[in-house]
Amino acid sequence: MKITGFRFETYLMKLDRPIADCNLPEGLDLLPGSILFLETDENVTGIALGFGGGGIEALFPLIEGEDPREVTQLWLRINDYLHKLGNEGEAHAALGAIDIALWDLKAKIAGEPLWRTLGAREGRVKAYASGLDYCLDDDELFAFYRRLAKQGIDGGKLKVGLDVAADIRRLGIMREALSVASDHPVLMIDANEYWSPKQAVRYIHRMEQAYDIAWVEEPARRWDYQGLNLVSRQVTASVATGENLNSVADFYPLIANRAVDVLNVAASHSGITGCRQIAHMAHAWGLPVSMMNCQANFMAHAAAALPNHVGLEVVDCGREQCLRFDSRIEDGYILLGEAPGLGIDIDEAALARLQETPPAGRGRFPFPRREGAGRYIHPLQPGEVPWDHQAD
Amino acid sequence: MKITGLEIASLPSGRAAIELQTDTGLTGLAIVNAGAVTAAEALVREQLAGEDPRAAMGLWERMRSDPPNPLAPAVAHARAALDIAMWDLKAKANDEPLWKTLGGARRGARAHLAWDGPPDRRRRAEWLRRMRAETGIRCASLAASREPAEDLEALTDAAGILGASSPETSLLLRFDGTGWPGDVIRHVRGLERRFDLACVCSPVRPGDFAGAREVSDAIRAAVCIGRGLADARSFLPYLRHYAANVIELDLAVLGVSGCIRMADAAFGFELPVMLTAYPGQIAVHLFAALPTPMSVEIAYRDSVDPALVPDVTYEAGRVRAGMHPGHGLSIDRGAVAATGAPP
Repeated sequence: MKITGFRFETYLMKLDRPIADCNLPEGLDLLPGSILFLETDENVTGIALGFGGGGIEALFPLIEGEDPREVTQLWLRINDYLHKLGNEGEAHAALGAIDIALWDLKAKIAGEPLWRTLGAREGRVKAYASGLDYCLDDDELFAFYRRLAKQGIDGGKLKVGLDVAADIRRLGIMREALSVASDHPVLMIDANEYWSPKQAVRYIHRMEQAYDIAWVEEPARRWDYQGLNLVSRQVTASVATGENLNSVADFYPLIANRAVDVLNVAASHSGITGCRQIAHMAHAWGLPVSMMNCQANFMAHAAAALPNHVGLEVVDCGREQCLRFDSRIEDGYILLGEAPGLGIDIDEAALARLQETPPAGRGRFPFPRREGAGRYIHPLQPGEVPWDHQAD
Repeated sequence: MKITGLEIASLPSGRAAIELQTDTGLTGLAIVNAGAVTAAEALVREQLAGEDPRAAMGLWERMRSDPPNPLAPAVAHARAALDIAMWDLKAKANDEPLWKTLGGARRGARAHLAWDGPPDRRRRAEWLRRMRAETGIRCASLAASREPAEDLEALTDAAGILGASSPETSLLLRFDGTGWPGDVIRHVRGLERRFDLACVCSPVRPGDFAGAREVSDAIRAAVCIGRGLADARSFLPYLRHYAANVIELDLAVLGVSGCIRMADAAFGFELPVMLTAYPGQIAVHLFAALPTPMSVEIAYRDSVDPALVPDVTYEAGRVRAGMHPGHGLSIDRGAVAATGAPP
């Protein structure tokens, strides 16, 4: 079995609903998508889903002619190749995509779902709901969390950051919506690095006077281990962070300096191999991990095999237009099927349609950082969000 | 594929071969100390029967958390052996060698020779000389004695046999994990006046992370920690306090699953890993797949056990796993019968 070629397709997708955080309150409903097809001499193809990038061509000579089953060593080969340049940017995205496609191939060759290849006992992963909801009005907010609560999901993560009174009100709405799944829903909040550490402490303190919060995500900058540590010590909630880091190397200072209580891990952490490394490192340190959202929840395969995984972020905003997938949500869990590999097939006709007639919409991907971030709260402006807030 | 039972065969060395049986006819093999057999039987009966061995990571976690005393030596050994047997099965089910199942490449592993025979200077030297000639391995791990003079003697012998001037040569010193930091520091500093030691293994008592750090801060050699540590939690104080410079992964208590997890943690902290000797040199499969492998230990006792038939070759000082499905280790039933060990 040898890797013989690749195809890299990009497209635009229009979401079912807009998504937003406090850095981009008005939100967007258009996202870029990409699919890497890794081809072999035995007519088995591995795929990886992503959000653009490219750079495959530069790294492909490192894996051409190799056996895809040797995935962890191929990961190391690419990682070592990037030694001086760094596992960053386009090269980072390409490494991650190649690794995911290799794991898909490895499982397909074994004729089993990837969760089994990775050694999991069952293809079943706890889910929590995440609305990316800063642009949803109160009714839409309730409807989103109630819809997922009816599927048994009993935890939710609210985007917060610019108006504490409104955030407390909306946290209550989320809690009420989730209450059909549990009398004690798990509440989480996410500020996407908007605050400075001391701002975070004051803001979270006020929210914690109203509700018990399981974790606060990215209350300070992603690399600020002292600031994150400060927040962790001063608030009751755990500090979660990491989604915008690249690899296990980036997590080292956070873990060693006790700046993180819950690690957000993702496919963007240098693929499944890189994501697993981080989770295993956290496990040795006694820390839990939570898998970030992804199309068709495909990283549930990796999460199922992790000993310290607490919940996968389900966004459910309609990013699967050209995908057919073998998973569903039931009783609050993502249930993965028995289809080989990731269990995802590409609907080539749908992909071609998206490429030929790109959808129109509101897109400012990647999310920029908002005015005032880390210094002061620049209040929401009239019309910036569709819900009640303290406008100047 | 379902686990249906466990077969046990005593080996002349006093150890036992345990063989996981499945409904497919495939079997998975591992070697345990005789004292761990009962625990292995109980684990199979209570936790593994009817399970799919391809779920090795998940089953490892369950075995790790369910028994009342998961770190008791017999339980830890039995659990690791069953994990190894499951990975053997997982690879056999794919009809591929274990290194490939683990995502590794068929690369020769750097290795070091470890004398675990009787304290006999002549026999030790003979074995090192023979292994040097047959395998090309130029690295050795020597058991530290109470007397620095004896260690100087052993190091002089090893350096002479292995060729101390070669950049390939490394000398390691293994303590028995009972030392006090001050004594170890004095001892090693004395040796370092004449020898460049790559590693000092298990220099202080298990759990004495502050002592390990003290030793590391005071000597030039790396401090290697991990032999006998059966759980990621046991490594945690060493990681927190930057007290280990090299992580030793003991396959006999960590299993394949535990080794994979701890190796990733070591990678995150930029720490190299050494793999403790295991019958049949099956740790070579892990070397091929882990991110920061440094060396695999080849022990005297395993190398002369007539009942063990490994699937490895030696080439220019490197050990290379073969292409047999699974980990490749098999038992020579004839040798077992010839020595009169009960079946």
